Amino acid sequence: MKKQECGSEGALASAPSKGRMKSWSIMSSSITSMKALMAILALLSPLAGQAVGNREIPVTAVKGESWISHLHKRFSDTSMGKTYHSGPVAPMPGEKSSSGQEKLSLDFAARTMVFHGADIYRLNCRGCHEQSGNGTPPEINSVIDPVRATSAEVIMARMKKAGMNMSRANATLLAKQSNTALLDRFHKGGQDMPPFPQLSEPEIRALLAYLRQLAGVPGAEKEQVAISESPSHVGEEIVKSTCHICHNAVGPNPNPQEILEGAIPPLSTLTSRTSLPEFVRKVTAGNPISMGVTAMPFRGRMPVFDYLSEDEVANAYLYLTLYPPQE
Amino acid sequence: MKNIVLILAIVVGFALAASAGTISGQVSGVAGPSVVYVDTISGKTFPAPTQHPVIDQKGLVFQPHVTAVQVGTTVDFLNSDSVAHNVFWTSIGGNKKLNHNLGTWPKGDRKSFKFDTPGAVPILCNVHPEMSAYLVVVPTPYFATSDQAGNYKIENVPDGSYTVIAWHEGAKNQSKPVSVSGDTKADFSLSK
Repeated sequence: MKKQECGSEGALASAPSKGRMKSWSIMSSSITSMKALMAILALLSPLAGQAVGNREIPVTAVKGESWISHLHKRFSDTSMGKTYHSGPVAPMPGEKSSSGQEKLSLDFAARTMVFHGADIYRLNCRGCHEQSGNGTPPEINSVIDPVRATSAEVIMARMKKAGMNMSRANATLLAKQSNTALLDRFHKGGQDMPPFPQLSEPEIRALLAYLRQLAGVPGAEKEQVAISESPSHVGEEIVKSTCHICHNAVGPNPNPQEILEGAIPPLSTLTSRTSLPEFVRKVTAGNPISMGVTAMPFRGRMPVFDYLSEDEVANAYLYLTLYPPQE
Repeated sequence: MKNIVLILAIVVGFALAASAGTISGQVSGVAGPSVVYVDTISGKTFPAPTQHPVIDQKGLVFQPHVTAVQVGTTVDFLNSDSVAHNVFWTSIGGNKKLNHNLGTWPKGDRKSFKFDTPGAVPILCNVHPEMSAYLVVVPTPYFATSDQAGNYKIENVPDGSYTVIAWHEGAKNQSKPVSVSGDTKADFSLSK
């Protein structure tokens, strides 16, 4: 794995300032050249992914209507995909962005990322279930109890506290059932929760380990494992699990008046609506959007996903470019 | 002929009036629903009811919280939530050998269980520790669940002498002899 990373760095040896750039502003002028650069960089990424790879599922394009459209929910009436509680407000023109994240790497599209379950949670679950896992009941349930229910230790402690001691055998049986129900939830989704077919078994295992840590299951800290993620898959996770909650995959590109009236631009329009740096800024720190007949800049309604790194969000842009959203 | 019919009607009428009493009153000292029931009557057995009472799981709550059934009754457990639920109990009437795990299942499915032993059954969901309900399996068809204020009424109790028991979640049972003759009163005072 280390060797491969060195190889990636070597391939980009000509890049300025140790392979990274402080600002992308100078590049924002040409989206086309950006895409060409990304395509070249992306060619490297599958190789990097394979060297340490555990991917069992090929990356596929995001398809169909958004999850809230599927549920016939209005953006204003749901907590899904919202992070207002934790994220900062989008800055207005001239205001300084509050993003404290690491700046975008030049070779983001070629860098295999090393993820833990906490990162899988961040990219796939946090948009709805919040950092704490508590969600926003009653619409979005807490993940904590269903995860605690997968631990025989926790069940035995709970029953002991309630004065109803339970044998380890019975507690283990209950724990296994809860584990099956939880895995079923990830694979099939529920009435209000989408399924996550884009997550591989190693990713699900890593996620479960993190959820157990989040839920305070004793010893779960020791279960955390690292897995490698290809750039396009990182993008796929963000787009399918977070963006696609509110953005339809395809559809007409709304004009500023339609945006003012509540239209959410489809994912298929985003790479032409924004340059890579604009996209990264919009997602990680907020960026004004043109609204209304006179197209004035407004903060917009989109939540700020300040918990995503610039590289991760750039991978979402890369993914949308390489795997154009489908009907 | 007419007279015979009339006499028969009067006799039958008296017989019905004499046999159909009620036991009613209030359970005080505790809040929420209690179960009041006639204890085992020596020498008498009753056919098991064919109806299946339902205990649902809705909005992460068991509904209803307290259910009473005659021994031999099959209870249907539902899941009306969009999340998976589980149903288990660790004992029936304090007997830990009668613990059972009914399983963990998604929305829409139902699981049934026939309760052949009298006693209180604390019903729990492993997925959601805050959820709890009680099923009280009683030995006779003469039982009632009180309202929130503790008022109860047991209908169609034949005249006679019985032991009547009041049960409440977390409280010690109270039993008292009751002679039923028509509409009979019996109040209980429980403490936790």
